[in-house]
Amino acid sequence: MNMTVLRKILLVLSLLAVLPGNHTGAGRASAAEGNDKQLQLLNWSEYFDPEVLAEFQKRYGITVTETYYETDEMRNEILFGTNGTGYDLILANGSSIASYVRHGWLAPVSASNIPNLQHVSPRWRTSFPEAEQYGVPFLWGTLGIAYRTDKTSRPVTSWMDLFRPEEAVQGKIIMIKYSRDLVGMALKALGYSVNSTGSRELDEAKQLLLAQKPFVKTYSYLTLGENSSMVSGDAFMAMIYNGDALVLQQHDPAIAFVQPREGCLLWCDFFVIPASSVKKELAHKFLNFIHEPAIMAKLARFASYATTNTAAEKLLPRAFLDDQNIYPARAILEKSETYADLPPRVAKKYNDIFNLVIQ
Amino acid sequence: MRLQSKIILITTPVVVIFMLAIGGISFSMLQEATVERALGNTRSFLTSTAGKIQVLYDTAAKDIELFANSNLLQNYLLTADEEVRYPLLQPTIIRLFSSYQKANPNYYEIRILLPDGYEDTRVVHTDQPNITEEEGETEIFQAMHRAENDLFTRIWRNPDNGRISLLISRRMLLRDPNLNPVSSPKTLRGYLAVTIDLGFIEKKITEAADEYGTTFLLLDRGGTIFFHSEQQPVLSPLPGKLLQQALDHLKDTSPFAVADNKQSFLMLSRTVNDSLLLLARIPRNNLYAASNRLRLAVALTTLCAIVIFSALLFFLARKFIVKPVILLRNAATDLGHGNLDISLNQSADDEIGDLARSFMEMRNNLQKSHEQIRRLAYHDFLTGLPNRVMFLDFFRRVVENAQRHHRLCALMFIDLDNFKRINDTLGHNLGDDLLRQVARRLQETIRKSDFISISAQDQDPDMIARLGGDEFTVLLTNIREQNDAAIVARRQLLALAEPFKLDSHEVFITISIGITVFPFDATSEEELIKNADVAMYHAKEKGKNNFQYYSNSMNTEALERLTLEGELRRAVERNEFIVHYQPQVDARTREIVGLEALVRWRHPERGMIQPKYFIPVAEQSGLIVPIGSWVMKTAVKQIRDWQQQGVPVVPVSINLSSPQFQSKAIYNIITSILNSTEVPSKYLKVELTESILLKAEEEAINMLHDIKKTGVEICLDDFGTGYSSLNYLKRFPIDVLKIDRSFVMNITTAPKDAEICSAIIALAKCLNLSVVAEGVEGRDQYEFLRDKGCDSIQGFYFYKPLPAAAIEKLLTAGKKPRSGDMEMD
Repeated sequence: MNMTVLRKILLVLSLLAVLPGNHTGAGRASAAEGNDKQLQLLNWSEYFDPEVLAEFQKRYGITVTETYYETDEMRNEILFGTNGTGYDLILANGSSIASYVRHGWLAPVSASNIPNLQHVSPRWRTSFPEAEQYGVPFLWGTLGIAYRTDKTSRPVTSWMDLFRPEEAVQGKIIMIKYSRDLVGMALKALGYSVNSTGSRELDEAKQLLLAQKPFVKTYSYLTLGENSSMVSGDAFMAMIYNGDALVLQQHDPAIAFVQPREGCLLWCDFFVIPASSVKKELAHKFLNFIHEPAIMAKLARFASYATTNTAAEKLLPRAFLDDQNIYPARAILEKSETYADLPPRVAKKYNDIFNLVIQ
Repeated sequence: MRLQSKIILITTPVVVIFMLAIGGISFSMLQEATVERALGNTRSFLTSTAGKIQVLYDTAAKDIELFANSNLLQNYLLTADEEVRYPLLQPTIIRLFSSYQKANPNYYEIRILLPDGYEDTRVVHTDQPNITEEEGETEIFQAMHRAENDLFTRIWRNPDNGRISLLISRRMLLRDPNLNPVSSPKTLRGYLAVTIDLGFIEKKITEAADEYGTTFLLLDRGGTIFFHSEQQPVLSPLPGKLLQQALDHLKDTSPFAVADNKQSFLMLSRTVNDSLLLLARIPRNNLYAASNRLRLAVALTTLCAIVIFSALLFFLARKFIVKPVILLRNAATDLGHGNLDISLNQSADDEIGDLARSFMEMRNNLQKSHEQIRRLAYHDFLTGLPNRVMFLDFFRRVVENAQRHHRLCALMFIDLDNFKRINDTLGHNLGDDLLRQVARRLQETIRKSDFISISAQDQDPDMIARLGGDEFTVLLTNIREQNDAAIVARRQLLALAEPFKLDSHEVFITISIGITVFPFDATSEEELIKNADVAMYHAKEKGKNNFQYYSNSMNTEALERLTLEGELRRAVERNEFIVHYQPQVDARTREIVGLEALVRWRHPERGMIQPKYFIPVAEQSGLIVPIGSWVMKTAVKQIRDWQQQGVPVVPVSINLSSPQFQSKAIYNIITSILNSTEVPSKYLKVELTESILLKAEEEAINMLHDIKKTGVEICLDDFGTGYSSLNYLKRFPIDVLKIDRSFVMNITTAPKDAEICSAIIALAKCLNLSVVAEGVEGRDQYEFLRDKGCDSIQGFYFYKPLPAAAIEKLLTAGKKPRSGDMEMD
């Protein structure tokens, strides 16, 4: 059993422990530092409730300006282009934190400056390497399949339904343009770990991806509004994060979300603070603000994702907490994994496969 | 040698040599042009290919420089930590390289090689296999590693795909940003390597094909062949000797020759860059094959040109030199043979034209001289009449013609009576003058001879000649009868009866004429001349101023005719003629339906004379005109008398003779007689013979129509004896045809005559003419004619010509003659 598998088990166990948990903590606002009342946030689009930003602005007079990325890949590229500068806060997936740290892009998070961290389950805080020191957990979720129930002949249950699509949805598929997601879910579909390093497994994944390629409409990420291609009918099936699928469902009830029977990716987003930021004080203030339970509950409901804040969970409705698309069933969780760090030259192989598939 | 041969001999070699020279020069120029074109094409191919390869190199060098300057790339390479590099940064670099590739599809592999040869990043178009990621030990990596320059290029076979490709790589020497940017040394962080597809160059070289089978090679200076238009196995070495030659001739524009054991080639080499060169190898045989194909065409063209030019020269020489000369020569030959009837084209504006003009002038002068000589030779200088020589010549021809055409001709010898005395008395000058005047008067007499001779073609004109002294001859070339000569002789005697005016004298002179007639007197000229001479002397003996025929009987006849003419003239004056009438009866009813008036001469001494004896004399003397008028007048008056007496009358027909018909008066005479007697015109008919119509002119025809208009019927007499042209029947207003007695006579014995009679009758019926048969003497004849449909019968079978009194009885009695009742008188 290697490190990755071990880590996965730990994570799942911690989640199981956390779910019913209830933590409380008092927030403490630290003095504002930095002369500018503005924060640059690099973030997913349609993820963060604008009302919360308005509230923050109202309370502290600090404006948060968002820059959006489409995929994790894009975020990395943006940061590579600026060498990690230009932002005060970055929303990153947990698996990226370690490499950011290694590259020296991040400043450690001062937990003492974020009293509301007390509401956050320690298991989430330690779920990824370096995460405890450099990150503040935000929301977590799974990666599954959204599809139009009115377009498929039978309910989708497996990753293979996505990778070897039935004829009705061929050419109507949207895949996330991120090397770990593409290669990882192909591995998952094949019954391997999303963190596989064996060249045979990777080769099979590559072949699966290349075989699927003709049926893929685009490699990108779905937009979530009324104009989404899933709603308009340009796409019938997509790789998607669970919360986003639920947002889409509000626009079209025919859209269903599935956590495939092979298991899902479990992910957790963290806020990190770039080393180059001169507004670390304000950033901490913001991070403390969002973990106020009421604020966090609002954020979770907005995005339809599970929160890492146990105090906030208590403020969420039962229906939200019972929704297995948000809080996956145990059976799924048991088969799910998180991304682990790959050996560099394996990562390189992932890159090669990815490049081959998307070009 | 003939002129034409000489011209050919001169021009042909000139044309041949000239054309051969042109042909030869053309061929060598064509060959040179062909070879030059082939070489030119090859040169331009080499140049363009070298240019393209160079552009590729230059572009690749620039591009790799651009890629190397990328901040992302440099940052990436400066990030030594693999944990960061591959998971975090590499996707961005891959994206960057992919974008380069999209812009330059030829750059099918873009790689980052680390200093130890590890393949850090590799971006390829498609899923191409990668033999190894550890490139450190490969020959090419070692080469780029050891290379002097940071920029490294090499054409080699890419082991990943086996393709000949261009590798261009660049050392990435970077300064660690964490160290002092100025003083710290740059360290080698890796190599940026781009593999470039050379497919298009390969295609250009391997597919380069010209008509000469040229081979193209791309090779490096070490002799390694990368592309070869004929062979697939590339990267084989070029033989060292050939390589050395190629390197030696890089700067040359002209090809160098090489030969292997089988073939010889022309080769061109061209530098591409420091390491590469292009080589073209053209098989000599192929190169010259094209021009050799031209050789035959040029040879044929030259041959054609020789033939055409030779023919043209020959034709021109013939037209402008030989032919005029030949014409001149022929003309000169003709002239030499005495033919002066020559005409030459004198329009040519050259020496030959001058010659032709001179020649024609000479010919004209010669002709004038000839004419003069002929005049002198053939004419009497005194009178201008033909002389003895010409006369004899002419006479011979006339006799020959007369013999051939069975004509009569008369020769008359004329001698002036007592000319010697006049000559002696008045002198030679006046004598000559007299001779000239005599000649003139004699000429007048033969010009009037038109009434004698029937004009016929190829008939010689009558001639008068002076044989010498006071002797003249007259040649009447075509007379109808012997007596015609007497008429001319009398006219001549008369012509000289007038006195001649010589100076102040009035001189009377007479002539003696001797006549001989061919062929009655003799058939040879000599004898005829002798006869005429004899006859002339006979005339002298007879007391001069007369003419004598050589034949005595002719002399008698001439005398008789002369007498008869005188008596006839008297008879007209004394009215010694009477008219008899021969009835014509209807063939069916036998009733008298007409009368033909026939003149009779009641000679006081010789009794009744038949018309056939005196009518010819009357016609010749012109007395027929008054006689004819008298007959008509008498006959019409007779009709009037009978009418007044109550005798039933029938129409009377009057014969018109040629002189009568030619006198326009006849119409006036007819109308005046009819007017004065008040006899209806239906009782008068006129009869004409075919011979009259033959000579009739337009005026006479018009007159005939006028006569017809008066109501007088016109009969065509003696039909069938003359030309019997059916045209008469069309042109002339004929009412009646009279079948000549000569047909009727033999009607029962000669089937042909019977047929002719039948045909004439049938013809007349068709043309709505009535037919009268003359000379019917027998019953058979009558019945035949009657049966054939003849209208009227005239002849002794019914009636012979009778005096008016006898006719009056017949008409009064109105009885029909019966057969056998005819024997009267």
